Amino acid sequence: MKLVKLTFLITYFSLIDLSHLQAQTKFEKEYRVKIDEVPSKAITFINWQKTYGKLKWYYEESHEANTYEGKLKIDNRRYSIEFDTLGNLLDIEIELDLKKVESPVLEEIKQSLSEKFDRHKIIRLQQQFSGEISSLNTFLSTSAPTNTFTVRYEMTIKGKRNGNRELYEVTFNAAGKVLKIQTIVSRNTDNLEY
Amino acid sequence: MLLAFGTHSALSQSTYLIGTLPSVNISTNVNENYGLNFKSEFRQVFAAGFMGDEPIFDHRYIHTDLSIMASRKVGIENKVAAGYLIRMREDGKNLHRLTQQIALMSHIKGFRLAHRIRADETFHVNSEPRFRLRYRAAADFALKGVTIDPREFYIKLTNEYVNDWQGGDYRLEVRITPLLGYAINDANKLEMGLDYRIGSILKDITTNSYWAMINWYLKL
Repeated sequence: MKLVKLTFLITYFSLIDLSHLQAQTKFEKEYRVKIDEVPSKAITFINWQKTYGKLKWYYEESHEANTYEGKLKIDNRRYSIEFDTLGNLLDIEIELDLKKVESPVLEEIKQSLSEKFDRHKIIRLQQQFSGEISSLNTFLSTSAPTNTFTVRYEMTIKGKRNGNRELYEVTFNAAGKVLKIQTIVSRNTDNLEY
Repeated sequence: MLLAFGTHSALSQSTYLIGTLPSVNISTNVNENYGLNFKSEFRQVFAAGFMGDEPIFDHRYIHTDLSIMASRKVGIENKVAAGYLIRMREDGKNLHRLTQQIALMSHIKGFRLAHRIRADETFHVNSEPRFRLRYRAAADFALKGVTIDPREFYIKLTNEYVNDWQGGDYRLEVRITPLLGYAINDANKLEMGLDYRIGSILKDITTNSYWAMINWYLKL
């Protein structure tokens, strides 16, 4: 009995000092904010109307930059509109079905993924617009992207490379060429497994 | 332990047990694909008896568990694992358990959902081997924001079904655990809440266990 209690006490108290030894993790967080916390310039840009559905605002902190992001649905399409902390537009992202990508671009994307990964599965695809966009209404009324927009595709995939399976974010240019591949670090899942 | 109440009045068909179940859980990656998990759990009961009656006994130390599990990634976030547990009991007659499990992770909007299927085999010098097949669904979500970030509170909910065979007897236990968690960072989390378990020890006797939990998850 004494041995059992001693084992328990040693296990617990010896671990208290270990809590500061783990590696630093990347500091990046996204959380909901109220509309009155969002720069007015960003709100003006979206020019929110009831027909746009519910608009949710988020603030994202990361090593690179802090941004505001408005998420909303328009005509059953998910939009994510990102601004800097002054309310200046950074980009507009629209969730996209793979079938909606023009076929030459889609072929190029598929070809690029086959070259970069042994196996892959597409989780999410977004079309990203940045550049000279004066208002959301103007952007929406434009039937096709113009030369003033920079168009990119951002894809989240489950990929296998060199025997390792990871989540990746792959960015393509308008022609479907790979611009950037980033590994998405999975969050610790121990508390759900044990 | 609740079998000790077996001779009580046939009118009493439900027992209760109130105790604490703190645990420390340490994980580490051996390499890209393999990992180890160490867990220590300490159980004590503060009251137990038949529903509506005075407690049959008060405070009592039950046991301390020490376990080690080795895991292998079988997908981006899916893992298979196997391990060994020793249960150090008050009477000194230790119990030994082998465990195998598969954990499958999925993400649903702001939720993380893990399905865990676990089998274990328990051996003790004074009783027949015990076999269990368990399924647990566990989900967590941030109280603020989309993901559980450092210095944020979160909710974790688990629901487990434990099928238990021993010497020709079968029992089913259902566990429901609501927990409030705090992420010090992604590698260091604290959780506290209640683990409620309902099961049966004999055909007509229902057991109700209430365990106050404090869990500490640490990734080295």
